[in-house]
Amino acid sequence: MRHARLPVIWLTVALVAAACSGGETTETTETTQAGEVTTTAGGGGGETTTTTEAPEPSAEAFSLVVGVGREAPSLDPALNPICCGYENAALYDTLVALLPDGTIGPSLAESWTIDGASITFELRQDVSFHDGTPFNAEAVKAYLDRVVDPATNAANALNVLGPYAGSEVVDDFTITISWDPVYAPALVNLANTSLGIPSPTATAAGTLEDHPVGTGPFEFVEWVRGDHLTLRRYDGYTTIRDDMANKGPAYAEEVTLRYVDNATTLANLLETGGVDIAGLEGPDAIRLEAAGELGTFRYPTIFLRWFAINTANITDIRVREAIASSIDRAGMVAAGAGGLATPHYSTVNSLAFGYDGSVEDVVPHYDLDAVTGLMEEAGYELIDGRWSQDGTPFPTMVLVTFSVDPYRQEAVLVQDYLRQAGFEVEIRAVEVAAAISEVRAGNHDLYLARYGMFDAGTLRNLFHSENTPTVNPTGNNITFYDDPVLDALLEEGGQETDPARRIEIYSEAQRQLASAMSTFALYEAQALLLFQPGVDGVAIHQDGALKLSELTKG
Amino acid sequence: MRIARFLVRRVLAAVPVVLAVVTVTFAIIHLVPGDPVQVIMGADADPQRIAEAREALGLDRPLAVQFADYLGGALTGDLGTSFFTRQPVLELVLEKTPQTLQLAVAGIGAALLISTPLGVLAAVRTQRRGRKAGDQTAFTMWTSILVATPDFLIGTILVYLFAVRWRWFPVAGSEGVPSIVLPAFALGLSLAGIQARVVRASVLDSIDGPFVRTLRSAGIRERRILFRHVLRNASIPVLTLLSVEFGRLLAGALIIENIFARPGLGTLIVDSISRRDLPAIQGEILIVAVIILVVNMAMDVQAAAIDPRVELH
Repeated sequence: MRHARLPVIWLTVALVAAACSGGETTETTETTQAGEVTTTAGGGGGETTTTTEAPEPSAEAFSLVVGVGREAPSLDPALNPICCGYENAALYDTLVALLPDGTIGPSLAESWTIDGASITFELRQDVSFHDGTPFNAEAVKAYLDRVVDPATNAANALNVLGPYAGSEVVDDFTITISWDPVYAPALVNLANTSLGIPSPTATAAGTLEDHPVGTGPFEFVEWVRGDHLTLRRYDGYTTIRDDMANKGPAYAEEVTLRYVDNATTLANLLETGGVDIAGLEGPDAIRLEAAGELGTFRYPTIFLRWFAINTANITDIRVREAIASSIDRAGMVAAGAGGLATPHYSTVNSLAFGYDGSVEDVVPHYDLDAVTGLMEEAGYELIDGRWSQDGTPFPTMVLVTFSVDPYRQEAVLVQDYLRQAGFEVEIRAVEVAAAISEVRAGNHDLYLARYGMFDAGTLRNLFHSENTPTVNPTGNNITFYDDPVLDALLEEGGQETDPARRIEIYSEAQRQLASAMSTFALYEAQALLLFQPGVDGVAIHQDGALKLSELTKG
Repeated sequence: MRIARFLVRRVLAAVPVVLAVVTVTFAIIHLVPGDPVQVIMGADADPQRIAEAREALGLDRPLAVQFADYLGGALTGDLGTSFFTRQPVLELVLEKTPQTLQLAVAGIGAALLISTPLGVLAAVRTQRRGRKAGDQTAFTMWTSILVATPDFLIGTILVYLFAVRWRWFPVAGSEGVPSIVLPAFALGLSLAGIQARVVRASVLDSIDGPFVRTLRSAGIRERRILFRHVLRNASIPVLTLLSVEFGRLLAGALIIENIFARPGLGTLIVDSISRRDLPAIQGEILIVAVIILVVNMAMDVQAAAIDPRVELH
């Protein structure tokens, strides 16, 4: 069956995104989409090859230690508030899989048909859970029903499942899942590991949290919270996923996820061989990559560095454009992201469905002459290096951001750029949850944060007027911009199921958004995996989790 | 009997202290901006679902009701359930406390290991050579450096030298004795600076005292006098200092645990605060307060055991 590209909206957290060094504290759905690019150790960049075949597995049994910055608070996928971690991907399989080209491929479901608000899945008949329970339609229904059961108090899984209306078990291996109303991202969201299917036996016994049981390539051995999770190869594992080179059991006999919050500590563990592989960001990542002693795997993420203007406070569009024209994206990439990023202009990241790169033509670029022209047109003059109107200096703007690096450092950069352009900025760097409260209350003029998406439909969460905090207290439109034209486009895009038409709609939406001069992407982040010599088969899932079952060690 | 009466008095006196800690913590965590439900559900969760989750967690009730409910539970040992991990808070905290206590005790051990010989040597040197300005300055300078250097900086330097560069000790982790050496010294070195000064001053106070002259005139050897008699007298102020510094030591442990990836209370508290895991924060602060109170009590009893002249109040 040909799996058509389908509209996708992956759950992302726009605002709750603390980039706590190495460990992302709060509860961002840290999702990435990867090309399969590997570099080999021995040089700063090494050779890049596209890996499509599984490496030769080692003849001897081996174990791997993987450094992980953020631990899943729960191993029960229904209760885990964090999407897309290594744990979920190792323990559980999902019905479908998101492939590198953005299409949906089979996983526990072999095929499916879509009929309006329902999807009927034909399931694999040769799969068992780690505890021997057969995988079937009842198991799928049991889990999905449990997710929406108020007694479960499910977390991310509930958000991702959407307006689930119920499941009908047609036969042992056929299930029809329905949503009400029609839910455009239904199929792609079933690829989210928060909807990985756990064993109904373990669930009914109430042991799932302490001893998770799924159909994934690894089974649970031991979990010492805050320290490590030990997993053992599930010898009965098979997969039909098109994106997996290894369709059988994992090569590693045992994998230990070692939880290390501190990025420098994780870097030190990589240097001293305390871990075999780990993902890093920031100066430690750059340093180790440059040292050339470890293998590296650099891959694009979906995350954009977001710079937003509170249009309720800064009402003159010329001033907003001038502010945007004051910031040098290349400088932000070099000094802020340490080179692990690329300048970006659209409000949609390049890996997301609906991205329109041509928006760069209508978004302000770094241009101090343009700043002068715009401010003078708005009736300001430069006095003692500061824009003033009728002798009154332009008010000092409050820039809210997170009190962790790199946000704090980048805020200082932005402040400096704006100061050079004639604006004064006061930085208010606070803890993530506090920052979100501040911007929702409108106590900001500028905001520096990040967001990411797999589908341009997420623009609605961020910029539709219905999500302005004055309308929806938990809304994310912290630009406070109300544009009926933009609203209509975002609504239309959310209802449209024809991919080609959606692309047109969202292209228009990106241009409409650009014209408001309220929100700007500064750069698109990259991520880096570093690994010991001898480790091979490094690849990641589309959500950024490492493909543990494909790792080898020689 | 005297110790039993002392313990009863101190336990009774601790009750209002614990109550105050619980009340202030409750007030602070509810005043701090940030919605725990939003953190759990995600920033773009459906408002209806957020409201349902808030109700399920009891966060829609008046604060006074929430506080009374919490107090009632705490009195029966129920500290609530973590919003994030869904574990009972008491279980969560008890899981992590041993790691932190282990680190704190090791830190004290490291501090004593350094400060005691340093302080004694400095005192003996002063006794023999007189109070020379140069000796005084050198001692003050080195101990000041130890005191002034933050724990995290010491920790970072120790890791770089002894773990990354020379590979004598592991970079991080909590398995085995080698893994606690560097964290213990990172935590203890700063305390050692203060302690060394106290040891030096206490030893100097005792070393020429009447009882020491009596012992010398009885022909007791100097080394025996120093280690068996003088140090015993000098240990009271050191214990008093430890009692006072224990709280700071616990705070330092939070940072050291992060640097050395030790899964203790410190890491837990930081994570709980950033996640707005209100019951977990409440329970963790309560346990830390209880630990400090118990340690203070134990230090006082120890002091009385060493010196019968010490009165227990």
